[in-house]
Amino acid sequence: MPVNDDDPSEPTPMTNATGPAASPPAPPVRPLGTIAHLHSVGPDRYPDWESIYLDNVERLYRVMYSRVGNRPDAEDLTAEVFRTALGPLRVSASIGEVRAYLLATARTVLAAHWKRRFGTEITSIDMEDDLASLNDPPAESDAPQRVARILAALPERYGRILELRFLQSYSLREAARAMNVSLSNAKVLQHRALRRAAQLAEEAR
Amino acid sequence: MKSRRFSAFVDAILGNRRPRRFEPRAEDADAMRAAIELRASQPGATLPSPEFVADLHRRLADEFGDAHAEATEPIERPVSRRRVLQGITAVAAAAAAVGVVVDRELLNPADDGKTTATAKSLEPDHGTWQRVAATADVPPGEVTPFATATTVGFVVNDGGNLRALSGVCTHQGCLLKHNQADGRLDCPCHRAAFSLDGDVLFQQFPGTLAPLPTVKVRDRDGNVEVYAPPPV
Repeated sequence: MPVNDDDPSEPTPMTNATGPAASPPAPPVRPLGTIAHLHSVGPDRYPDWESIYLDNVERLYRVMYSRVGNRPDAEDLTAEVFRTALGPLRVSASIGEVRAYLLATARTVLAAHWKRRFGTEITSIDMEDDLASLNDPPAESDAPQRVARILAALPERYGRILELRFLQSYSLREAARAMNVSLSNAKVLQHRALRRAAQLAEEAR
Repeated sequence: MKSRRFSAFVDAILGNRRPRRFEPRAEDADAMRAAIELRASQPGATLPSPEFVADLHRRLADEFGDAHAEATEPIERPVSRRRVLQGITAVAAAAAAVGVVVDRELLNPADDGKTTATAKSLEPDHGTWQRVAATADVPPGEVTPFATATTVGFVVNDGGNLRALSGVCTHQGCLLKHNQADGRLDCPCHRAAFSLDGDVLFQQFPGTLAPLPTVKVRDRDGNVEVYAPPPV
């Protein structure tokens, strides 16, 4: 398996719009009076905790959402990561170190969440793959194609029910009606389709 | 009934709501993972709301704004540190394993562009010798990754001589992977590679990349030990 998700012939340029080199973290929009002390600031480290937050909140939220699939949990867990990590974090650490630290904290926070809620880890954070996507967030536009590929690879009825549920926002009852099956059959179909989709997603990795 | 609870889970995910607690069967866990992935793949789903970002910013400012300021004033430090550290020790200890204590100076060369990229040694102010492997497990020619609570790296046995290198890329801090086939350490983030001496073999981005810092290592009573900071 290649170590880089990107095309290896296309090294990520330093001028990537989302990369720190092109846009060093901006100073806080509204600096707080209480943190007006100065740090020596290099191009690849953060001037203060607010810059750490502002540069990473969306990156981290995206990773977290992709692991829990709902907004309230993604928000709570993202908040927990920052509240946990910002205390011991040294502002003088490099951007890469800060992100690795945030991600390692996120991995622990997510694992505890799953254990608490369902007694087992449903999803997890991979330090290598997720650190790469934290540094260079994948394009939003790639996701629908990935879903379309998975749905297309499923048996027809499995693909159909997931398309109705996940792409067309049908309720289970509406999906059952559209597919001319009973509600309980639709439930079984949905469960089997998702299990098969999980297998396909695993194979695709 | 279990299948009803699973359906409720999918409904919650589709409705962007917090799913209720239940005990999933093994086959449910796979299906739950697929539901999460499909939900997260909807356009824009993974973007945080501006309200959340602003609200968390305010909450963190309340909690940490003054604590970090106080850290520059030693007289206040014991109070603020105690408050900050409440309840976070376990997670912080786990997170520390990624090597965040590597000093900034050991990463990219000085920002003034005058410094040449020379290898440095990673020596903590207050380190301890910590066992990372049995000597027998690192025979000549072997490269073994190690991780202490605060440092990650590789131990290299070069013809009977032990050498230890930081395992953190000097570009942006990604964790290096040992590429056994090519006998080097690869950075998975931005296409850079280091030799087993820590020298930069190649990089595909502008600027100078510092070699990997070395870590003190010794063979003691059949154990390979590195000199690293104690756990946080």
